[in-house]
Amino acid sequence: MIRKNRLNKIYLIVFFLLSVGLIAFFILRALEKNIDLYLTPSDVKATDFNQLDDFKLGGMVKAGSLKKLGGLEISFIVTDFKSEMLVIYEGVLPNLFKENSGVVATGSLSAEQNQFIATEILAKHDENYMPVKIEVQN
Amino acid sequence: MYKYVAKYFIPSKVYKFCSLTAMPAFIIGMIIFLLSSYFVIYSLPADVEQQEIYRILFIHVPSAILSELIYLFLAVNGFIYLVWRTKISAIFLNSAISIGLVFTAIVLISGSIWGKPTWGTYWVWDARITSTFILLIQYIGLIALRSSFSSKQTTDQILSIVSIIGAVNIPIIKFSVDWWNTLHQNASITTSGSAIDTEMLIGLPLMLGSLLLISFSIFARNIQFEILARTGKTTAMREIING
Amino acid sequence: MDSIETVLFTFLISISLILILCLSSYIRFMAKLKNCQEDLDD
Repeated sequence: MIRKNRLNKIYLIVFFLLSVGLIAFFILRALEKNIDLYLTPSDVKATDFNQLDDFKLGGMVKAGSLKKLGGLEISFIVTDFKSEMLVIYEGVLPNLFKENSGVVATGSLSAEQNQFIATEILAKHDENYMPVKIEVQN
Repeated sequence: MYKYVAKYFIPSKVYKFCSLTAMPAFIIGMIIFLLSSYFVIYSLPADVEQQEIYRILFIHVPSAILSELIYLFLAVNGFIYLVWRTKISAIFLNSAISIGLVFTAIVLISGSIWGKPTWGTYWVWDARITSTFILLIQYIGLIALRSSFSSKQTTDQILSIVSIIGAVNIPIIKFSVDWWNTLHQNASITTSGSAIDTEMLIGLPLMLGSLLLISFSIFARNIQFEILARTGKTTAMREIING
Repeated sequence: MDSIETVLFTFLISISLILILCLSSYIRFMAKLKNCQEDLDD
């Protein structure tokens, strides 16, 4: 049996921990703006944006949408399978950047608000790991 | 129940157990670490997407698991100490902090090295990385607190309270990839199975086991130190040192 | 550095950090033990 005063202490600590959790929840809600979260194309369409503001756009690179525009400049479509957005980028690309793969781009909307001018591209890879298999012919 | 558990946790018995097991745990841990490192770096197949660089996973993920488990261990011991006033819990708490700090540092360093060739950046303030960085600061804070008070008892109480409060961060780290749109990928191993191929998966328990053994050997030496530092009477000290 | 070297480098950094902690814990304990034994001998 747990003695009465110990039980009271346990209640006190649990109550304390719950309040700390609640406080942490509100602090996190307030701090969300300070960490690098990305918006999906649907989020972007749903919000009224000042095109001068930098933000991050994330989603999948749509298959067949990657085009070379000459030099290091490329364009591709980011999709969340509900909405799409055209992205223009000039610069070096991470190794894992390719079609049908995740991407997080930093930049801002163009004046017409129909395309996203990226200044940085990061590849978001998935959690799957598969061994390279040597093709066996039979 | 209390008295059945308590008899195994008398300082002199714990001290003896630690002095017997610390060295073997270290040697076996190092042997497994070296063999499984060789195995995961040279024998396992490369990954389809990431090729060779994915092998950092085998140091990154076990360290991440340990950094979070050790923090939970601190909080549980802090809780037991506050409720039952058991000195051994305070000793355990004090002895595990530095190990957690090192593993948190390893997670951030290895993740950073891994991020550059895959994501394209060493560091980004994404939800997972930011919450892990906060965990690092929590460990540093605990170490700073440890030497801030003159009385051992005050220190133990403060450390217990702070580690319990800080435990709030552990579920945040765990679920950060689900709660937010963030760059870090989701968990590979969940209750519904593993997204890591079974052929590669074997590397994880091997590395985790070896790191656990090495951690235990550090933990044991720290416990021995703490017990000696807390034993005042000569007769008790003689009993501990001479077994 | 190629990928395998980077992986090796990461493992080396990690185990060195762990070994540094091992060594410092061991030294700290041995110093305390020596201290206590001297006290007992007095």
